[in-house]
Amino acid sequence: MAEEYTISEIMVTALASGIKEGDVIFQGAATPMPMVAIELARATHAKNTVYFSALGISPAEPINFEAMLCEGLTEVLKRTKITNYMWAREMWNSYHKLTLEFLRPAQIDKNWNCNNSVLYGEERNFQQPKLRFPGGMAVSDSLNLLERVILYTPAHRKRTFVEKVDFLMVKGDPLSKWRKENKLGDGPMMMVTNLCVFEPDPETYMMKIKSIHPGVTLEQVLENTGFEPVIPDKIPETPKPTKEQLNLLRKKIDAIGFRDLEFHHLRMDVMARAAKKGIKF
Amino acid sequence: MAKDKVLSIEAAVGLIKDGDNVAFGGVLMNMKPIAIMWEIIKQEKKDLTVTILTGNFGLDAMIGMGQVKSLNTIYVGFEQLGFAPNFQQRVQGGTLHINEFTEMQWFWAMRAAEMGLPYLPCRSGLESELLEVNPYLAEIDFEGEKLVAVKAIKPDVTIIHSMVGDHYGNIQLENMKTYMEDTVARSVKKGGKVIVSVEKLVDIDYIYRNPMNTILNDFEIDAVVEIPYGAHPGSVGPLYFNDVAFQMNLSDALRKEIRLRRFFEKRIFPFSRAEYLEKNNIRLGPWWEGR
Repeated sequence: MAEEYTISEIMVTALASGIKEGDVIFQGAATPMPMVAIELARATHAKNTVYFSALGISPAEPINFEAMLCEGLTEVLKRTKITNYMWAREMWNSYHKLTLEFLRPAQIDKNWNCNNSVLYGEERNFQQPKLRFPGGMAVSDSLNLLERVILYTPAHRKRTFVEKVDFLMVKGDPLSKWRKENKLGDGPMMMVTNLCVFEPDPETYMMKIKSIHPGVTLEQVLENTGFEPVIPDKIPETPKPTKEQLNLLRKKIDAIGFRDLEFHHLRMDVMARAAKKGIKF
Repeated sequence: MAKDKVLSIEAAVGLIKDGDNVAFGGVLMNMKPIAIMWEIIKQEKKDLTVTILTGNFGLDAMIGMGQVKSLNTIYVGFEQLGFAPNFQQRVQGGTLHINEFTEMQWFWAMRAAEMGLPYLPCRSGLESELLEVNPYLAEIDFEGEKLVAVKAIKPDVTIIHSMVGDHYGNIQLENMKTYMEDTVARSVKKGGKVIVSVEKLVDIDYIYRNPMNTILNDFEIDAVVEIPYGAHPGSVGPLYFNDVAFQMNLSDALRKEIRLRRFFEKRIFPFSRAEYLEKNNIRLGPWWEGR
């Protein structure tokens, strides 16, 4: 009898499956699910993963997600062993030293082009867009320069997965000739959503369905995707979280449910759990 | 004999002119010269171009007060606490111009200025539309290799927050390396002003004891201001952390201009630094007393 699991738990285990032993992971701000996935991988199949956040390299001990809830990335800073911002930036130029980052695009198209800048209405005016996002931060740098990148979104819908991005903030084209010619990294290797997992089609580099989560149908995926993805003849089911993974997540790594912060409707639940534990904001 | 550079916060902010390009140090909620930003709001500086890696509450308050006309930035938001409402509304309304950079590009723009170079090359943003909307970016060819040239940003005034400084303007960070405060300070244009707020003013003998900690020299600085908890409600390295309750109150006030003004008139403008610390239940611990 399989354990019950939540969407955020299967997304976290799918994200963790993309981490390889020995990865040197750079992870930016405000990405709760990957942070939990990194700790899960470090507790299971990738113990020697190096994790450094935008603010410094964290030591071997796992992140305290309860403290992270109040402090954000500053929590990492309390126990960092090096804080040299400039050094990290120079490492990006020799990107092969940094192997992985998890990123959440606001908009993505079938060629893996990403946009975290603006959405346009009828007029394509960058200086007066229909919707202004906070900004790309290092999303473009990582998608261009790191060895590989894993994308995710907890909201698989048509306005996120579009035929063509409103604004080409950063080019995707994973594994392409263009990337090799320009000495860039391999690009996005996986996209994990609340419905399925995509991977690049080796021939066209386009978004191809890698697996669909248990209980989700192909029709549901297609209804919520604004383009026609590459569909394999036989579609595998995304592996369910194992009992060991669920135990680790719920009892050890993330008892407070930091991972659920990605879902707006679950935010208050996380805060309520935090309040119950006496965490003050 | 080096010159005494200590100024009051009022006099230091008085060095900023309406219309200036002002750069701020810090990253996310950490090491931001927030107290200086509050004073900029109080002095009602206008038509500013703000050059800032990541903007948070301080910047969004300045935008909400109608002081900012243009931004050079990579991100304006409150991380896990949400979007920056004034930034978002004004850009969408077409009244706030933005030159958006990638993180590396922004850094290269400051570094080029620091090094006195017209630009620095990088691979970030190749064939992206950022190159079409940001005049600081251009594609170049070097021996057949395509690169993005990032033009130097040379602000009129650069402002950073640090831990200690002496009266002459030798500035130090303790037990942490810079997040680029030195680069931001040095990016200033020729004849521009460099303002540094420090947690604690010290004697030059203190600087001599720890020369490895020095990030900026006296001759590079125009003004030093002692402001304990100068990054509050943000954080300073290992010294103090985010005041999340204050941040949440402020992010609430940022939603309406009238509430924003009331917030400043009630909680910030009337108070001396000592009173501000007391109002916010901040007691300066052994770190401040021991220096």
